[in-house]
Amino acid sequence: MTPGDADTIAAVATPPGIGGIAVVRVSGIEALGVASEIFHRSSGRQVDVGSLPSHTVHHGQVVNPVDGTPADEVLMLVMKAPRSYTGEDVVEFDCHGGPVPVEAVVHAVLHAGARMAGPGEFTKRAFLNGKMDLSQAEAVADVISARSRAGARLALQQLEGQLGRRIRDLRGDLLDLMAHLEVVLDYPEMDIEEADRSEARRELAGMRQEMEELILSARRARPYREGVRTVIVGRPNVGKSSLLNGLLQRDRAIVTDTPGTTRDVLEETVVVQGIPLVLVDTAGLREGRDRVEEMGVERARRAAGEAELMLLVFDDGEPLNADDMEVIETAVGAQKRGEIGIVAVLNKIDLAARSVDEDEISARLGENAEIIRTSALTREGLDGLEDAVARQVACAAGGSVDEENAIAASARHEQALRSAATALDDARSALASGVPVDLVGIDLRECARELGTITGESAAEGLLDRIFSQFCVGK
Amino acid sequence: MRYHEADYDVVVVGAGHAGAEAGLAAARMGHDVLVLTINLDSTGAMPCNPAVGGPAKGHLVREIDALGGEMARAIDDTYVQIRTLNTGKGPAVQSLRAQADKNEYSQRILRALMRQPRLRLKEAMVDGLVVSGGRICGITTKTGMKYGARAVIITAGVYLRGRVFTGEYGYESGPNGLTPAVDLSSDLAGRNMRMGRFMTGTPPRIARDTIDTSKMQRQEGDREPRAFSFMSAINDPLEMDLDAGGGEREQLACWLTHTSDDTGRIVRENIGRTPMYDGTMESAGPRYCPCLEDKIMRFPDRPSHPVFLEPEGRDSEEMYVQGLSTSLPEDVQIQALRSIPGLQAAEIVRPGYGIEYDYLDPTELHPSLQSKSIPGLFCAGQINGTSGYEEAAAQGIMAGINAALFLRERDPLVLDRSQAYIGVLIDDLVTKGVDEPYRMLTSRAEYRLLLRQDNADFRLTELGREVGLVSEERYGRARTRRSLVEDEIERLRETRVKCDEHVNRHLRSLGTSPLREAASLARLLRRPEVDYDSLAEIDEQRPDLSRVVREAVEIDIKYEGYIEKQEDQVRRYLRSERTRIPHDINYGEVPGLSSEAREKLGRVMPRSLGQAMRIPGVSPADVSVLMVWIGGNRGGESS
Repeated sequence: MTPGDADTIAAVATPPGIGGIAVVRVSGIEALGVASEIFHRSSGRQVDVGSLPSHTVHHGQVVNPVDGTPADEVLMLVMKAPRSYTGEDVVEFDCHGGPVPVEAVVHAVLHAGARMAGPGEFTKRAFLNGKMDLSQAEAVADVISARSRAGARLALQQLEGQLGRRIRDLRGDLLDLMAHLEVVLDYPEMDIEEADRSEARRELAGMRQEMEELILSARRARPYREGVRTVIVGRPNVGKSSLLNGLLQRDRAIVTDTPGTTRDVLEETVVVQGIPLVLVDTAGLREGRDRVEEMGVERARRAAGEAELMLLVFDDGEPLNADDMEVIETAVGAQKRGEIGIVAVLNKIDLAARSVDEDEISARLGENAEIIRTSALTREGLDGLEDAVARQVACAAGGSVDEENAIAASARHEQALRSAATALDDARSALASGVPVDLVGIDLRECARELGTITGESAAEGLLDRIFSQFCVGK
Repeated sequence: MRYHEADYDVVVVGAGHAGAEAGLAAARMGHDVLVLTINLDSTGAMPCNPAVGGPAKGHLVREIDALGGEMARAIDDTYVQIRTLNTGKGPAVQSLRAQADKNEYSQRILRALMRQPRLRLKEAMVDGLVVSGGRICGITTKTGMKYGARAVIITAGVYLRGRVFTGEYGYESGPNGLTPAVDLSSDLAGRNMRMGRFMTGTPPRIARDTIDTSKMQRQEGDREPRAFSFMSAINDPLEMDLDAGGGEREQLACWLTHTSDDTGRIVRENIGRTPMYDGTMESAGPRYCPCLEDKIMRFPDRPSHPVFLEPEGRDSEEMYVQGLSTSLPEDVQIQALRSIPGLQAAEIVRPGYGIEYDYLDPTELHPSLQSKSIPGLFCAGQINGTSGYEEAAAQGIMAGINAALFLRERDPLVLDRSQAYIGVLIDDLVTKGVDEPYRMLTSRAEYRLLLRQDNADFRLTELGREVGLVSEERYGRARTRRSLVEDEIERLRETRVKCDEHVNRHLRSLGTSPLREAASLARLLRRPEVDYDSLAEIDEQRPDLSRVVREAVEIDIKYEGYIEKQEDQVRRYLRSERTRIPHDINYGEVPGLSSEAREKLGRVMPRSLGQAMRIPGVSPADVSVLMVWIGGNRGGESS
């Protein structure tokens, strides 16, 4: 696909599920033509949508152009290029929210010549048409894939530029300081007082603090933004499937289809206390008991390799056996590889016999892992399990997940902030050990460059503007 | 009818700092060259400050020299004072600055041009280009002459429609009362070349015997003077005598004083009498070199500004007042001067003035400095919107080289931002254009630790030799120095000093910690308290090496970590620089570009994605669009 391809794309723009209104969006050079073909006024007359003014709303009906059957009563929004979300001609149909009318409207649109949009394709077009910058586009991508309401809110904050503003401020402070340090290098004869190195270090320490906060925020936002990859492991027959179903059946659970992907890579997400858990390998868990029995320890180990949270399931009716111990060792292995949340679930407490020795588990997994007793069948203990899950996620994300104050940042932003912080640390230690200012400038410039990759600004010009506006230099 | 006098390979219009280097380079590369100037006596003139070098500018001079240019040798021969600046700073920003004898310098350049085989220098006022079949084929002069040429280099300085101001009095003129070039400017504009108007200024000159130096601070030259040119005796890698280059030459002093409260008051009271502040002048002046009016008005909180008095020459009775560039009326200039300690009795012999002139938008040029619209036409120097003798000379030598390569139908020599300040300068000009006269600054160079003045020969002399501008002698020097430096670095890395009492006593005496185990000399040299010379005591096999070798060794080892960092950054930079943009790309066909980006890209015609990123008005989103388009649609070619 290259930008500006002639085809016209369509998709349901509202989340699937129950809702009063659904929006079917059509974008591309044929969008107005597609709409003309399927839209009928209440009077039954068809109209040339291309002749309607931009940014107007029209009431009428969508009719399938092949068989003439009415699809649904709709409000049609016409937005002409370039004043639309994608920068192309866009028509939106607001129809009733049930699956039947939505599907009928989509079919009509497709029959009239549009094709189903790929994942993120609207955003891509908007980006390519210059309707949004890179960080906005990334935020939109996050909104699209935001797996919970909190994630969506974070992404929206970023869209409004909160992250951008804080990073721009930080970068501005840095350039001011650089101007102060560097001006004497280009104008050695002017009697400009050299920037005081310890004062510069103090200022840099302040900037480093702000950077740390931004990094921490980004880290705290990550579970909301990307979800927490979660694996449920246990030997056969301990109740993994019923535990999964127990979690899924609670009213907060949702099942989402990753946009544009096909059924077979469907990822299931359970939202636990606002945190989306992306369940890894649930296909294996859901394909009936037979498959579950086959899911060997090897497979669990592989799944555990990608996981950020492990739920270890044991049958509380029996003492730990050799298979259980292997499950525990899988978790111990994962702990060694990195920060991972672990909850040991002692299931089937409805069967009364508390046979598992908690101390044995604690001894292997350490104090940080939590142990919870549940009955997936009676749903007893599921609240406690959710609390434990939330605590584990918070712990792995750096202490807490602060959904109100976290600033949404994409993985790229987080990486750029970390690189900037490294450069800043280098500059601070260079200043402390008496390295000449022109060399310290190399690290500071690198830091400014990294921050600029987030805000889309280049280092050189900003610096000169500051030198000339703040210092009286020259002959 | 014009009298067709002769045909040349290259005609250079102008014999200032750009024109001289351009003409000499093309002639030394074996082409027949005609250099034309409005006034022979103004060849290589310094109409503003009598100085060459300083941070970044001194770097340019070194680079011009490494390529085989003239400026460094000319200033070495004629300076009256020379100093190394920023000695207390790191290696990237140390630079030479010399006070010139401006008449001597001008004469020195005049001789170089007149004695250069294959080069003819003549007086003429060029009034138009001769273009045929879309290509340049000569120039015409006011006196009815026509000269044929396969390449023309315009180095018209500030002469195009020059207009001089002193207070309310303004008149058509070039610098120093010379005739401005009006027809050539109209000719260029008539060929749809984008022109703009800039302004700059120069301070008054005062009589030497009217200043009272007892109220000023004396500034001396270096006791052990260095030299700009790699060809000077003192920069010979085999020369051990530090006095080899002009140690016995008598140096003149400069004098430092400061403006007073009264100076500010006088300027403020009369601010309406300068064309810059009375609203009649709209052209942009340089921010980095503000005139006195700007200093007072824009920085009202500063109690005083430094003022330097510099001799215009060894036998000259005129002093240049650096820091007091102004276009205020002469009576205000006198009052302002006399408000400055040591200048209470100063008498002006030439009033300061502002000069407004036409420049050519440098985005009209390829990075080779060749015109995008007229093949064979090159422009260099102040006409491209720069300021400064060194910036002009740097473009001049590149235009001369590239005109010669053009005649041979060879690819141009384009230096990139990681190779030379010259590369930074020209890339900035042709990529970003100019909105004020452009001055070279070290902070414009992202990779300045690699672009040091001490290693300009390592960076460029090989390239100068490839195009045929560098003599065997110069090339031999660079090679000798390089191998001496490399051998010594190797030796310092391999030589280990034992951890014994003799060594540790010496280290302690240097204020650094004693050894606990044997260490290489290179490792010791990285300590901040240690330098190359101070290790002599514990370095038994040390060879006898010249200063220019020892210093290079020390920098390479001491700053190895930072040099590696910069080399990493250069690798990253070169990646995007190597993603070529097809030269026949039609930005109108690339969907998704903002209209501003489309216009800017179409004008600048960047050669690479890296260059496109540096164009103001082209956002990261536009660059992504371009990346998608090149990669997906056209198949990106890389070189």
